[in-house]
Amino acid sequence: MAVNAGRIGPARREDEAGPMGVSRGPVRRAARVAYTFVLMNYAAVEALVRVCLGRQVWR
Amino acid sequence: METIFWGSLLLIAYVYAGYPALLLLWSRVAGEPARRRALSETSDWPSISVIIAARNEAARLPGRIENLLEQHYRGPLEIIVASDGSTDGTATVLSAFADRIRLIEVAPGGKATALNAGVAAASGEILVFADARQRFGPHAIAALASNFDDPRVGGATGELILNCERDWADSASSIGESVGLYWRYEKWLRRHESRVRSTLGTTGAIYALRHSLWRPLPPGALLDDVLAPMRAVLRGYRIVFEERAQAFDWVVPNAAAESARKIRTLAGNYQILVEEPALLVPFLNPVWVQYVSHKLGRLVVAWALLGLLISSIVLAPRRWPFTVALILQLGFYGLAAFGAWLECKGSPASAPTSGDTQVSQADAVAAEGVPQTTGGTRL
Repeated sequence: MAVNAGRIGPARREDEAGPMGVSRGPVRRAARVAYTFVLMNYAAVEALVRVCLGRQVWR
Repeated sequence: METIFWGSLLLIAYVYAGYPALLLLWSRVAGEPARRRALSETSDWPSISVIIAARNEAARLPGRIENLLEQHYRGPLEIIVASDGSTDGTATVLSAFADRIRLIEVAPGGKATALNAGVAAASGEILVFADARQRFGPHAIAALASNFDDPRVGGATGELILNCERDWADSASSIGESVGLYWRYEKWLRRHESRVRSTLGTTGAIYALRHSLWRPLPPGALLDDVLAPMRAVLRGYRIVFEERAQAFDWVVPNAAAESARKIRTLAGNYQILVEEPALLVPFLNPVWVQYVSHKLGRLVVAWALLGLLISSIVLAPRRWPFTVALILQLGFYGLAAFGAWLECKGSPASAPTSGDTQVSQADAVAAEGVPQTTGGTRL
């Protein structure tokens, strides 16, 4: 973990790359937001299934 | 089928846009801030018991204890670590703090059991709950305690600040931007729910509760930070959102970790409905509208998304509005699939997971946040 110009986190490159080489292009950013939205919402379905089946939901 | 389509669409729109709009209006028309004392006041601060439930957190606890010992709090303060069957030398590590903290060792039984043991040993008027990983801003405990002069206040939740909220690109997480957006939205809701009457729970990393309102948690409770405060709300008390009480943390490294966290949270919400069914009864739950709109809304919106998609597929050939709705949804899910592919391709394999690394990261985030906190600037 590098300290870069007063920031905490991975060193920033000057191009459009984000952390771990993730592009910051608008389409890719929107794609990640959409994916996270779907993931977070459909977690409710999986949570209900796990609760109903008595499966462990943590650890 | 049209009923399913419109019902699903309205439900999704209400949960994510209608309810926040209602809350904004409600808080402006009938919002009532809690009475709180100034942090500069010197006398009569309540006694505090800080309780940390921890299992195998020997790497993180020393830094955490130091962080708590540096708190600017003028009243009596005790620190209790409830070790949930730790086998990593937690007791040895904490022996260096033997004169300043109390270690309660319990057989492994989960966080709820450890918290119950910690509270049973606590003597403070106010209980403050914290986790091993995060760090508090220097006035966090005083800020939480400042709300309890108001007898209507049963608890207070602080503000958890994730590193990705300021600059997602520095967060070392593949989903830092998305989680940062979500977390800011969630805190906005909590802030406004607090103004109307009460938040619907707290943040596990930083919250306080009157000792007199504590009831032992069921052993398997997943969300102590929702169950314990909502029990206080059912007894007529408020839980307030205290922005001056800040805790700092690092966002999860990738989507898989966020998914696991979210599944646990939502399963906990189902569990609480079984534990406290009074939450579903309007005249027993003083924040019923908020609870149904926010907490239950999040549980049913996934089903509404499914209903919307299926009904759109069936109705698309019949009328053009349904065709448009289907195209928009397919576009959205296509975008999400692209996001999933990006996640698989670029998920950080070396994401911070070790105790040492996260300790240093949380310290770094806290240290970075402190000057801005004391300067009165919101991060």
